Amino acid sequence: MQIILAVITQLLGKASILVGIIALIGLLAQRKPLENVVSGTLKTIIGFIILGGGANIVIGAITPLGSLLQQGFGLQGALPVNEVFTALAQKQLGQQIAIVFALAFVVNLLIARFTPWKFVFLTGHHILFMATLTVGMLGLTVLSGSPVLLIIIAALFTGFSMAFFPWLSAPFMEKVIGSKDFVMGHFGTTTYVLSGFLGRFVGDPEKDSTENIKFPNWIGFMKEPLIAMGVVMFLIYLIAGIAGVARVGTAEAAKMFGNTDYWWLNCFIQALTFAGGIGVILLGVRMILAEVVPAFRGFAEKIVPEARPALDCPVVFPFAQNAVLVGYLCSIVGGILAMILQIVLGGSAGAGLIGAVVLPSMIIHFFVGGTAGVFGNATGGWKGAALGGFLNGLIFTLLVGTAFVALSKLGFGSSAFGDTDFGVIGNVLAFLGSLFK
Amino acid sequence: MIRITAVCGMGLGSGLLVKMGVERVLKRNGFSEREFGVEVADISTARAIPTDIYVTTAEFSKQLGQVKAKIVEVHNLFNEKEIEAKFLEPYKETRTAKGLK
Repeated sequence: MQIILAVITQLLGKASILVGIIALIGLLAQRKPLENVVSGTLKTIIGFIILGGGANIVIGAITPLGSLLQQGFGLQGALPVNEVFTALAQKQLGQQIAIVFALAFVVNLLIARFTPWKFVFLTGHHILFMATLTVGMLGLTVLSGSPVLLIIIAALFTGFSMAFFPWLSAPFMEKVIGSKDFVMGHFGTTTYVLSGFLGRFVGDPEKDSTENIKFPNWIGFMKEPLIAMGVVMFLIYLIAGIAGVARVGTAEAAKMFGNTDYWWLNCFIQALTFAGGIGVILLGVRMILAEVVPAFRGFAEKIVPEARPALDCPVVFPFAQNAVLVGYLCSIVGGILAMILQIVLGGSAGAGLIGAVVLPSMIIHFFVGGTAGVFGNATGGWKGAALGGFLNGLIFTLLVGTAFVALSKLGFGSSAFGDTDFGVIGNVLAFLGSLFK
Repeated sequence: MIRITAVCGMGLGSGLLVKMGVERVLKRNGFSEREFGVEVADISTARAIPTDIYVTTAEFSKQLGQVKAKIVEVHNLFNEKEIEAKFLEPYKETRTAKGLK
Protein backbone atom coordinates (compact mmCIF):
# COMPACT_ATOMS: atom_id res chain seq x y z
CA MET A 1 0.00 0.00 0.00
CA GLN A 2 2.79 2.36 1.02
CA ILE A 3 4.57 1.65 -2.25
CA ILE A 4 1.48 2.35 -4.36
CA LEU A 5 0.95 5.66 -2.55
CA ALA A 6 4.59 6.58 -3.00
CA VAL A 7 4.44 5.76 -6.71
CA ILE A 8 1.30 7.83 -7.25
CA THR A 9 2.71 10.79 -5.31
CA GLN A 10 5.91 10.72 -7.35
CA LEU A 11 4.04 10.44 -10.65
CA LEU A 12 1.60 13.24 -9.89
CA GLY A 13 4.44 15.33 -8.53
CA LYS A 14 5.87 15.62 -12.01
CA ALA A 15 4.11 18.33 -13.98
CA SER A 16 4.99 16.58 -17.23
CA ILE A 17 3.07 13.48 -16.15
CA LEU A 18 0.12 15.54 -14.89
CA VAL A 19 -0.23 17.15 -18.28
CA GLY A 20 0.07 13.70 -19.86
CA ILE A 21 -2.78 12.45 -17.69
CA ILE A 22 -4.96 15.38 -18.79
CA ALA A 23 -4.29 14.42 -22.40
CA LEU A 24 -4.95 10.75 -21.61
CA ILE A 25 -8.37 11.57 -20.15
CA GLY A 26 -9.19 13.69 -23.17
CA LEU A 27 -8.10 11.01 -25.64
CA LEU A 28 -10.00 8.24 -23.87
CA ALA A 29 -13.12 10.41 -23.71
CA GLN A 30 -12.91 10.91 -27.48
CA ARG A 31 -12.67 7.12 -27.93
CA LYS A 32 -9.54 7.35 -30.04
CA PRO A 33 -7.84 4.12 -31.21
CA LEU A 34 -5.43 2.68 -28.65
CA GLU A 35 -2.24 3.55 -30.49
CA ASN A 36 -3.39 7.20 -30.70
CA VAL A 37 -4.12 7.27 -26.97
CA VAL A 38 -0.65 5.96 -26.16
CA SER A 39 1.23 8.13 -28.66
CA GLY A 40 -0.85 11.22 -27.82
CA THR A 41 -0.17 10.87 -24.11
CA LEU A 42 3.54 10.30 -24.63
CA LYS A 43 3.80 13.21 -27.08
CA THR A 44 2.23 15.52 -24.51
CA ILE A 45 4.71 14.47 -21.83
CA ILE A 46 7.64 14.80 -24.23
CA GLY A 47 6.32 18.22 -25.30
CA PHE A 48 6.46 19.32 -21.68
CA ILE A 49 10.04 18.15 -21.34
CA ILE A 50 10.99 19.91 -24.56
CA LEU A 51 9.46 23.07 -23.11
CA GLY A 52 11.91 22.88 -20.22
CA GLY A 53 14.81 22.35 -22.59
CA GLY A 54 13.83 25.43 -24.57
CA ALA A 55 13.74 27.49 -21.39
CA ASN A 56 17.34 26.53 -20.64
CA ILE A 57 18.46 27.55 -24.11
CA VAL A 58 16.79 30.93 -23.77
CA ILE A 59 18.18 31.62 -20.30
CA GLY A 60 21.68 30.86 -21.52
CA ALA A 61 21.18 33.19 -24.46
CA ILE A 62 19.96 36.22 -22.55
CA THR A 63 22.09 36.10 -19.40
CA PRO A 64 25.03 37.92 -21.06
CA LEU A 65 22.55 40.56 -22.27
CA GLY A 66 21.52 41.26 -18.68
CA SER A 67 25.17 41.76 -17.67
CA LEU A 68 25.86 44.02 -20.66
CA LEU A 69 22.81 46.18 -20.02
CA GLN A 70 23.81 46.46 -16.39
CA GLN A 71 27.41 47.45 -17.18
CA GLY A 72 26.65 49.63 -20.15
CA PHE A 73 23.56 51.53 -19.06
CA GLY A 74 23.10 50.62 -15.42
CA LEU A 75 19.87 49.20 -16.72
CA GLN A 76 17.78 46.13 -16.00
CA GLY A 77 15.37 45.52 -18.86
CA ALA A 78 12.25 43.36 -18.66
CA LEU A 79 11.63 41.01 -21.59
CA PRO A 80 7.91 40.62 -22.26
CA VAL A 81 7.99 37.16 -23.81
CA ASN A 82 5.16 34.94 -22.51
CA GLU A 83 6.79 31.76 -23.74
CA VAL A 84 9.95 32.29 -21.69
CA PHE A 85 8.04 33.37 -18.60
CA THR A 86 5.85 30.29 -18.79
CA ALA A 87 8.70 27.89 -19.50
CA LEU A 88 10.65 29.19 -16.50
CA ALA A 89 7.66 28.96 -14.18
CA GLN A 90 7.26 25.24 -14.88
CA LYS A 91 10.29 24.37 -12.78
CA GLN A 92 8.94 25.71 -9.52
CA LEU A 93 5.20 25.80 -10.09
CA GLY A 94 4.65 23.24 -12.83
CA GLN A 95 2.37 20.99 -10.80
CA GLN A 96 -0.01 23.75 -9.72
CA ILE A 97 -0.04 25.29 -13.19
CA ALA A 98 -0.94 21.96 -14.81
CA ILE A 99 -3.89 21.48 -12.47
CA VAL A 100 -5.10 25.08 -12.86
CA PHE A 101 -4.79 24.65 -16.64
CA ALA A 102 -7.15 21.65 -16.52
CA LEU A 103 -9.55 23.22 -14.01
CA ALA A 104 -9.77 26.45 -16.00
CA PHE A 105 -11.41 24.50 -18.86
CA VAL A 106 -13.96 23.21 -16.36
CA VAL A 107 -14.65 26.72 -15.03
CA ASN A 108 -15.07 28.02 -18.58
CA LEU A 109 -17.55 25.25 -19.38
CA LEU A 110 -19.51 25.94 -16.19
CA ILE A 111 -19.71 29.65 -16.96
CA ALA A 112 -20.80 28.91 -20.52
CA ARG A 113 -23.39 26.42 -19.34
CA PHE A 114 -24.96 28.45 -16.54
CA THR A 115 -24.53 32.12 -17.50
CA PRO A 116 -25.30 34.26 -20.58
CA TRP A 117 -21.55 34.33 -21.39
CA LYS A 118 -21.68 31.41 -23.77
CA PHE A 119 -18.12 31.32 -25.08
CA VAL A 120 -15.58 28.53 -25.25
CA PHE A 121 -11.96 29.61 -25.22
CA LEU A 122 -9.94 27.50 -27.64
CA THR A 123 -6.54 29.22 -27.60
CA GLY A 124 -4.63 26.72 -25.50
CA HIS A 125 -1.33 28.53 -25.10
CA HIS A 126 -3.08 31.63 -23.74
CA ILE A 127 -4.91 29.52 -21.18
CA LEU A 128 -1.52 28.14 -20.18
CA PHE A 129 -0.02 31.65 -19.92
CA MET A 130 -2.94 32.96 -17.84
CA ALA A 131 -2.75 29.92 -15.58
CA THR A 132 0.97 30.56 -15.12
CA LEU A 133 0.45 34.24 -14.39
CA THR A 134 -2.31 33.71 -11.82
CA VAL A 135 -0.50 30.86 -10.06
CA GLY A 136 2.74 32.82 -10.04
CA MET A 137 1.33 36.09 -8.73
CA LEU A 138 -0.95 34.48 -6.15
CA GLY A 139 1.29 31.62 -5.20
CA LEU A 140 4.28 33.59 -4.14
CA THR A 141 2.41 36.31 -2.30
CA VAL A 142 -1.08 35.99 -0.91
CA LEU A 143 -1.60 32.26 -1.06
CA SER A 144 1.89 30.86 -0.61
CA GLY A 145 0.83 28.72 2.30
CA SER A 146 -2.36 27.20 0.93
CA PRO A 147 -1.89 25.16 -2.26
CA VAL A 148 -5.51 24.03 -2.58
CA LEU A 149 -6.93 27.54 -2.20
CA LEU A 150 -4.28 28.78 -4.65
CA ILE A 151 -5.35 26.29 -7.29
CA ILE A 152 -9.04 27.05 -6.85
CA ILE A 153 -8.66 30.83 -7.00
CA ALA A 154 -6.18 30.76 -9.87
CA ALA A 155 -8.51 28.46 -11.82
CA LEU A 156 -11.43 30.80 -11.15
CA PHE A 157 -9.47 33.84 -12.37
CA THR A 158 -8.32 31.98 -15.47
CA GLY A 159 -11.68 30.42 -16.29
CA PHE A 160 -13.41 33.74 -15.74
CA SER A 161 -11.02 35.47 -18.14
CA MET A 162 -11.75 32.78 -20.72
CA ALA A 163 -15.39 33.88 -20.81
CA PHE A 164 -15.17 37.58 -19.93
CA PHE A 165 -12.64 38.83 -22.48
CA PRO A 166 -14.29 37.01 -25.40
CA TRP A 167 -17.61 38.55 -24.34
CA LEU A 168 -15.99 42.03 -24.45
CA SER A 169 -14.72 41.40 -27.96
CA ALA A 170 -18.03 40.17 -29.42
CA PRO A 171 -19.57 43.43 -30.72
CA PHE A 172 -16.35 44.51 -32.43
CA MET A 173 -15.63 41.05 -33.80
CA GLU A 174 -18.86 41.24 -35.76
CA LYS A 175 -17.60 44.37 -37.50
CA VAL A 176 -14.34 42.66 -38.41
CA ILE A 177 -15.53 39.31 -39.76
CA GLY A 178 -19.05 40.29 -40.72
CA SER A 179 -20.71 37.47 -38.79
CA LYS A 180 -21.31 36.09 -35.32
CA ASP A 181 -19.55 32.80 -36.04
CA PHE A 182 -16.78 33.28 -33.53
CA VAL A 183 -15.23 35.81 -31.17
CA MET A 184 -11.74 36.69 -30.00
CA GLY A 185 -10.04 34.20 -27.71
CA HIS A 186 -6.79 36.01 -27.17
CA PHE A 187 -5.61 37.94 -24.16
CA GLY A 188 -4.95 41.25 -25.87
CA THR A 189 -8.68 41.97 -25.90
CA THR A 190 -8.29 45.15 -23.83
CA THR A 191 -6.43 46.84 -26.69
CA TYR A 192 -8.58 45.25 -29.40
CA VAL A 193 -11.71 46.67 -27.83
CA LEU A 194 -10.07 50.04 -27.18
CA SER A 195 -8.88 50.15 -30.77
CA GLY A 196 -12.28 49.22 -32.17
CA PHE A 197 -13.98 51.75 -29.94
CA LEU A 198 -11.68 54.67 -30.79
CA GLY A 199 -11.49 53.95 -34.51
CA ARG A 200 -14.91 55.43 -34.98
CA PHE A 201 -13.67 58.84 -33.90
CA VAL A 202 -10.62 59.08 -36.13
CA GLY A 203 -11.48 57.68 -39.50
CA ASP A 204 -13.88 56.07 -41.95
CA PRO A 205 -13.68 52.31 -42.45
CA GLU A 206 -14.73 52.44 -46.10
CA LYS A 207 -12.79 55.43 -47.39
CA ASP A 208 -9.67 55.04 -45.29
CA SER A 209 -9.36 51.27 -45.29
CA THR A 210 -5.84 49.91 -44.88
CA GLU A 211 -6.47 47.47 -47.67
CA ASN A 212 -6.18 50.34 -50.17
CA ILE A 213 -2.51 50.87 -49.28
CA LYS A 214 0.31 49.26 -51.24
CA PHE A 215 3.27 48.01 -49.23
CA PRO A 216 6.73 47.22 -50.67
CA ASN A 217 7.58 43.54 -50.98
CA TRP A 218 10.66 43.44 -48.76
CA ILE A 219 8.49 44.13 -45.73
CA GLY A 220 7.57 40.45 -45.94
CA PHE A 221 10.39 39.29 -43.66
CA MET A 222 8.93 41.29 -40.77
CA LYS A 223 5.90 39.03 -40.95
CA GLU A 224 7.87 36.07 -39.67
CA PRO A 225 7.72 36.76 -35.94
CA LEU A 226 10.60 34.47 -34.97
CA ILE A 227 12.95 36.04 -37.50
CA ALA A 228 11.91 39.53 -36.45
CA MET A 229 12.54 38.58 -32.80
CA GLY A 230 16.03 37.40 -33.68
CA VAL A 231 16.87 40.53 -35.66
CA VAL A 232 15.61 42.89 -32.98
CA MET A 233 17.32 40.91 -30.23
CA PHE A 234 20.57 41.28 -32.21
CA LEU A 235 20.03 45.05 -32.40
CA ILE A 236 19.39 45.23 -28.67
CA TYR A 237 22.45 43.07 -28.01
CA LEU A 238 24.60 45.30 -30.25
CA ILE A 239 23.48 48.47 -28.51
CA ALA A 240 24.06 46.90 -25.10
CA GLY A 241 27.36 45.48 -26.34
CA ILE A 242 28.63 48.84 -27.59
CA ALA A 243 27.71 50.50 -24.30
CA GLY A 244 29.10 47.66 -22.22
CA VAL A 245 32.40 47.46 -24.05
CA ALA A 246 32.74 51.25 -23.92
CA ARG A 247 32.35 51.08 -20.14
CA VAL A 248 34.39 48.04 -19.17
CA GLY A 249 36.39 47.01 -22.23
CA THR A 250 36.40 43.91 -24.41
CA ALA A 251 38.12 41.65 -21.85
CA GLU A 252 35.37 42.13 -19.29
CA ALA A 253 32.74 41.68 -21.96
CA ALA A 254 34.37 38.43 -23.03
CA LYS A 255 34.00 37.15 -19.46
CA MET A 256 30.26 37.78 -19.65
CA PHE A 257 30.06 35.54 -22.70
CA GLY A 258 32.41 32.95 -21.30
CA ASN A 259 34.66 32.76 -24.37
CA THR A 260 37.26 34.77 -26.28
CA ASP A 261 35.37 35.38 -29.51
CA TYR A 262 34.76 38.92 -30.73
CA TRP A 263 31.99 40.47 -28.60
CA TRP A 264 29.92 41.40 -31.64
CA LEU A 265 30.06 37.83 -32.92
CA ASN A 266 28.84 36.64 -29.53
CA CYS A 267 25.99 39.15 -29.75
CA PHE A 268 24.97 37.71 -33.09
CA ILE A 269 25.12 34.08 -31.96
CA GLN A 270 23.32 34.74 -28.67
CA ALA A 271 20.54 36.68 -30.39
CA LEU A 272 19.93 33.80 -32.79
CA THR A 273 20.23 31.28 -29.94
CA PHE A 274 17.47 33.24 -28.25
CA ALA A 275 15.26 32.94 -31.31
CA GLY A 276 16.11 29.26 -31.57
CA GLY A 277 15.27 28.70 -27.91
CA ILE A 278 11.87 30.29 -28.44
CA GLY A 279 11.37 27.96 -31.37
CA VAL A 280 12.07 24.98 -29.10
CA ILE A 281 9.65 26.27 -26.46
CA LEU A 282 7.00 26.67 -29.15
CA LEU A 283 7.53 23.10 -30.30
CA GLY A 284 6.99 21.90 -26.74
CA VAL A 285 3.86 23.99 -26.23
CA ARG A 286 2.50 22.83 -29.58
CA MET A 287 2.91 19.18 -28.61
CA ILE A 288 1.16 19.75 -25.28
CA LEU A 289 -1.78 21.54 -26.85
CA ALA A 290 -2.21 19.21 -29.82
CA GLU A 291 -4.10 16.61 -27.80
CA VAL A 292 -5.59 18.73 -25.04
CA VAL A 293 -7.38 21.45 -27.02
CA PRO A 294 -9.31 19.09 -29.36
CA ALA A 295 -10.44 17.16 -26.29
CA PHE A 296 -11.67 20.34 -24.63
CA ARG A 297 -13.49 21.32 -27.79
CA GLY A 298 -15.14 17.90 -27.91
CA PHE A 299 -16.37 18.26 -24.33
CA ALA A 300 -17.60 21.79 -25.01
CA GLU A 301 -19.63 20.71 -28.01
CA LYS A 302 -21.43 18.10 -25.95
CA ILE A 303 -22.01 20.22 -22.86
CA VAL A 304 -22.62 23.69 -24.33
CA PRO A 305 -23.38 23.18 -28.03
CA GLU A 306 -24.72 26.71 -28.51
CA ALA A 307 -21.55 28.35 -27.22
CA ARG A 308 -19.50 30.44 -29.63
CA PRO A 309 -15.80 29.59 -30.01
CA ALA A 310 -13.26 32.20 -28.91
CA LEU A 311 -10.30 31.85 -31.28
CA ASP A 312 -6.67 32.84 -31.63
CA CYS A 313 -6.05 36.31 -33.06
CA PRO A 314 -4.65 35.32 -36.48
CA VAL A 315 -8.15 34.22 -37.54
CA VAL A 316 -8.87 37.88 -38.28
CA PHE A 317 -5.66 38.51 -40.23
CA PRO A 318 -6.98 37.32 -43.61
CA PHE A 319 -9.81 39.87 -43.34
CA ALA A 320 -7.42 42.86 -43.37
CA GLN A 321 -3.81 41.88 -44.07
CA ASN A 322 -2.47 45.42 -44.41
CA ALA A 323 -4.16 46.48 -41.17
CA VAL A 324 -2.00 43.89 -39.42
CA LEU A 325 1.13 45.54 -40.78
CA VAL A 326 -0.03 49.08 -39.91
CA GLY A 327 -0.95 47.99 -36.38
CA TYR A 328 2.34 46.11 -35.99
CA LEU A 329 4.57 49.00 -37.03
CA CYS A 330 2.66 51.59 -34.98
CA SER A 331 2.74 49.27 -31.98
CA ILE A 332 6.54 49.19 -32.18
CA VAL A 333 6.59 53.00 -32.14
CA GLY A 334 4.28 53.11 -29.12
CA GLY A 335 6.36 50.51 -27.31
CA ILE A 336 9.63 52.33 -27.85
CA LEU A 337 8.06 55.61 -26.70
CA ALA A 338 6.85 53.91 -23.53
CA MET A 339 10.30 52.44 -22.98
CA ILE A 340 11.89 55.89 -23.29
CA LEU A 341 9.36 57.26 -20.79
CA GLN A 342 10.24 54.45 -18.39
CA ILE A 343 13.97 55.14 -18.69
CA VAL A 344 13.52 58.89 -18.25
CA LEU A 345 11.28 58.40 -15.22
CA GLY A 346 13.87 56.38 -13.38
CA GLY A 347 12.96 52.82 -14.28
CA SER A 348 16.52 51.66 -14.85
CA ALA A 349 16.86 50.07 -11.43
CA GLY A 350 13.60 48.24 -11.93
CA ALA A 351 11.29 50.54 -9.98
CA GLY A 352 10.96 54.06 -11.37
CA LEU A 353 7.98 56.40 -11.24
CA ILE A 354 6.04 54.32 -13.73
CA GLY A 355 7.81 51.05 -13.13
CA ALA A 356 10.64 49.17 -14.78
CA VAL A 357 12.10 49.49 -18.26
CA VAL A 358 10.52 47.07 -20.73
CA LEU A 359 12.33 45.96 -23.89
CA PRO A 360 10.37 45.53 -27.14
CA SER A 361 8.98 42.13 -28.10
CA MET A 362 8.28 41.61 -31.79
CA ILE A 363 5.94 38.72 -31.06
CA ILE A 364 3.59 40.93 -29.03
CA HIS A 365 3.86 43.86 -31.43
CA PHE A 366 3.06 41.58 -34.36
CA PHE A 367 0.17 39.55 -32.96
CA VAL A 368 -1.42 41.96 -30.50
CA GLY A 369 -0.49 45.15 -32.35
CA GLY A 370 -1.52 43.59 -35.63
CA THR A 371 -4.89 42.47 -34.31
CA ALA A 372 -5.47 45.90 -32.74
CA GLY A 373 -4.79 47.25 -36.22
CA VAL A 374 -7.48 45.00 -37.71
CA PHE A 375 -10.05 46.08 -35.11
CA GLY A 376 -9.12 49.75 -35.55
CA ASN A 377 -9.37 49.46 -39.31
CA ALA A 378 -12.84 47.93 -39.06
CA THR A 379 -14.20 51.07 -37.41
CA GLY A 380 -11.78 53.77 -38.57
CA GLY A 381 -9.68 52.76 -41.56
CA TRP A 382 -5.91 53.20 -41.49
CA LYS A 383 -6.12 55.98 -38.92
CA GLY A 384 -7.97 53.65 -36.57
CA ALA A 385 -5.46 50.91 -37.24
CA ALA A 386 -2.51 53.21 -36.60
CA LEU A 387 -4.00 54.65 -33.41
CA GLY A 388 -5.00 51.20 -32.12
CA GLY A 389 -1.58 49.75 -32.86
CA PHE A 390 0.24 52.69 -31.28
CA LEU A 391 -1.89 52.59 -28.12
CA ASN A 392 -1.32 48.85 -27.88
CA GLY A 393 2.45 49.21 -27.88
CA LEU A 394 2.27 52.04 -25.38
CA ILE A 395 -0.20 50.39 -23.01
CA PHE A 396 1.13 46.85 -22.83
CA THR A 397 4.69 48.13 -22.31
CA LEU A 398 3.57 50.40 -19.47
CA LEU A 399 1.48 47.63 -17.87
CA VAL A 400 4.42 45.22 -17.83
CA GLY A 401 6.55 47.96 -16.31
CA THR A 402 4.20 48.64 -13.42
CA ALA A 403 3.72 44.95 -12.63
CA PHE A 404 7.41 44.11 -12.95
CA VAL A 405 8.28 45.03 -9.38
CA ALA A 406 5.97 42.26 -8.20
CA LEU A 407 6.93 39.92 -11.05
CA SER A 408 10.66 40.12 -10.45
CA LYS A 409 10.10 38.66 -6.99
CA LEU A 410 8.95 35.45 -8.64
CA GLY A 411 12.51 34.65 -9.60
CA PHE A 412 11.98 34.27 -13.33
CA GLY A 413 14.83 36.64 -14.06
CA SER A 414 13.95 39.54 -16.29
CA SER A 415 11.24 37.73 -18.23
CA ALA A 416 7.64 38.90 -18.04
CA PHE A 417 4.30 38.30 -19.73
CA GLY A 418 3.33 40.54 -22.64
CA ASP A 419 -0.23 40.76 -23.95
CA THR A 420 -2.46 43.53 -22.56
CA ASP A 421 -5.01 41.38 -20.70
CA PHE A 422 -2.11 39.71 -18.84
CA GLY A 423 -1.04 43.24 -17.99
CA VAL A 424 -4.47 44.08 -16.60
CA ILE A 425 -4.84 40.86 -14.59
CA GLY A 426 -1.17 40.96 -13.56
CA ASN A 427 -1.48 44.46 -12.14
CA VAL A 428 -4.76 43.63 -10.40
CA LEU A 429 -3.15 40.59 -8.76
CA ALA A 430 -0.01 42.56 -7.87
CA PHE A 431 -2.21 45.17 -6.21
CA LEU A 432 -4.20 42.52 -4.31
CA GLY A 433 -0.92 40.93 -3.27
CA SER A 434 0.36 44.19 -1.86
CA LEU A 435 -2.82 44.62 0.21
CA PHE A 436 -2.15 41.40 2.05
CA LYS A 437 1.47 42.11 2.97
CA MET B 1 0.80 7.78 -44.60
CA ILE B 2 -0.32 11.14 -45.97
CA ARG B 3 1.41 14.02 -44.25
CA ILE B 4 -0.42 17.31 -43.86
CA THR B 5 1.08 20.43 -42.32
CA ALA B 6 -0.95 23.38 -41.07
CA VAL B 7 1.17 26.54 -41.22
CA CYS B 8 0.72 29.75 -39.25
CA GLY B 9 2.76 32.51 -37.65
CA MET B 10 3.90 30.83 -34.48
CA GLY B 11 2.67 27.31 -35.03
CA LEU B 12 0.31 27.51 -32.09
CA GLY B 13 -3.25 28.80 -32.04
CA SER B 14 -4.49 29.20 -35.56
CA GLY B 15 -2.50 26.21 -36.82
CA LEU B 16 -4.16 24.01 -34.25
CA LEU B 17 -7.57 25.27 -35.39
CA VAL B 18 -6.75 24.32 -38.95
CA LYS B 19 -5.47 20.92 -37.79
CA MET B 20 -8.74 20.26 -35.97
CA GLY B 21 -10.70 21.44 -38.99
CA VAL B 22 -8.82 19.20 -41.43
CA GLU B 23 -9.12 16.16 -39.15
CA ARG B 24 -12.86 16.71 -38.70
CA VAL B 25 -13.45 17.23 -42.42
CA LEU B 26 -11.54 14.07 -43.32
CA LYS B 27 -13.32 12.04 -40.66
CA ARG B 28 -16.71 13.33 -41.82
CA ASN B 29 -15.88 12.26 -45.36
CA GLY B 30 -15.08 8.73 -44.31
CA PHE B 31 -11.28 8.71 -44.40
CA SER B 32 -9.57 6.61 -41.76
CA GLU B 33 -7.57 8.34 -39.05
CA ARG B 34 -4.84 5.80 -39.65
CA GLU B 35 -3.99 6.95 -43.15
CA PHE B 36 -3.11 10.60 -42.45
CA GLY B 37 -1.31 12.75 -39.92
CA VAL B 38 -1.70 16.50 -39.43
CA GLU B 39 0.97 18.52 -37.73
CA VAL B 40 1.28 22.23 -36.99
CA ALA B 41 4.27 24.35 -37.95
CA ASP B 42 5.30 27.98 -37.82
CA ILE B 43 6.14 29.71 -41.09
CA SER B 44 9.86 29.87 -40.33
CA THR B 45 10.28 26.10 -39.98
CA ALA B 46 7.50 24.93 -42.29
CA ARG B 47 9.70 24.42 -45.35
CA ALA B 48 11.97 22.09 -43.43
CA ILE B 49 9.16 19.63 -42.72
CA PRO B 50 8.63 16.76 -45.14
CA THR B 51 4.96 16.89 -46.06
CA ASP B 52 2.48 16.14 -48.83
CA ILE B 53 0.08 19.03 -48.38
CA TYR B 54 0.39 22.43 -46.68
CA VAL B 55 -2.72 24.22 -45.44
CA THR B 56 -2.40 27.91 -44.69
CA THR B 57 -3.65 31.45 -45.32
CA ALA B 58 -2.85 33.68 -48.28
CA GLU B 59 -0.11 35.67 -46.55
CA PHE B 60 1.89 32.59 -45.63
CA SER B 61 1.33 30.68 -48.83
CA LYS B 62 3.24 33.46 -50.56
CA GLN B 63 6.13 33.03 -48.16
CA LEU B 64 6.24 29.26 -48.51
CA GLY B 65 7.39 29.88 -52.04
CA GLN B 66 8.47 27.00 -54.26
CA VAL B 67 7.79 23.68 -52.58
CA LYS B 68 7.18 20.17 -53.90
CA ALA B 69 4.10 19.70 -51.72
CA LYS B 70 0.64 20.92 -52.63
CA ILE B 71 -0.50 24.17 -50.98
CA VAL B 72 -4.13 24.69 -49.97
CA GLU B 73 -5.08 28.27 -49.18
CA VAL B 74 -7.97 29.09 -46.85
CA HIS B 75 -9.38 32.49 -45.99
CA ASN B 76 -11.45 31.72 -42.93
CA LEU B 77 -9.38 29.35 -40.78
CA PHE B 78 -12.33 28.22 -38.77
CA ASN B 79 -14.75 27.55 -41.59
CA GLU B 80 -14.97 23.81 -42.13
CA LYS B 81 -17.11 24.21 -45.24
CA GLU B 82 -14.27 26.17 -46.84
CA ILE B 83 -11.74 23.54 -45.82
CA GLU B 84 -14.01 20.87 -47.21
CA ALA B 85 -14.36 22.74 -50.49
CA LYS B 86 -10.66 23.42 -50.95
CA PHE B 87 -8.92 20.52 -49.25
CA LEU B 88 -10.71 17.36 -50.31
CA GLU B 89 -9.65 17.38 -53.95
CA PRO B 90 -5.90 17.77 -53.27
CA TYR B 91 -6.23 15.12 -50.57
CA LYS B 92 -7.91 12.65 -52.90
CA GLU B 93 -5.31 13.33 -55.59
CA THR B 94 -2.54 12.61 -53.10
CA ARG B 95 -4.25 9.37 -52.09
CA THR B 96 -4.39 8.22 -55.67
CA ALA B 97 -0.78 9.21 -56.26
CA LYS B 98 0.23 7.08 -53.28
CA GLY B 99 -1.80 4.12 -54.49
CA LEU B 100 -4.38 4.15 -51.66
CA LYS B 101 -7.81 2.67 -52.41
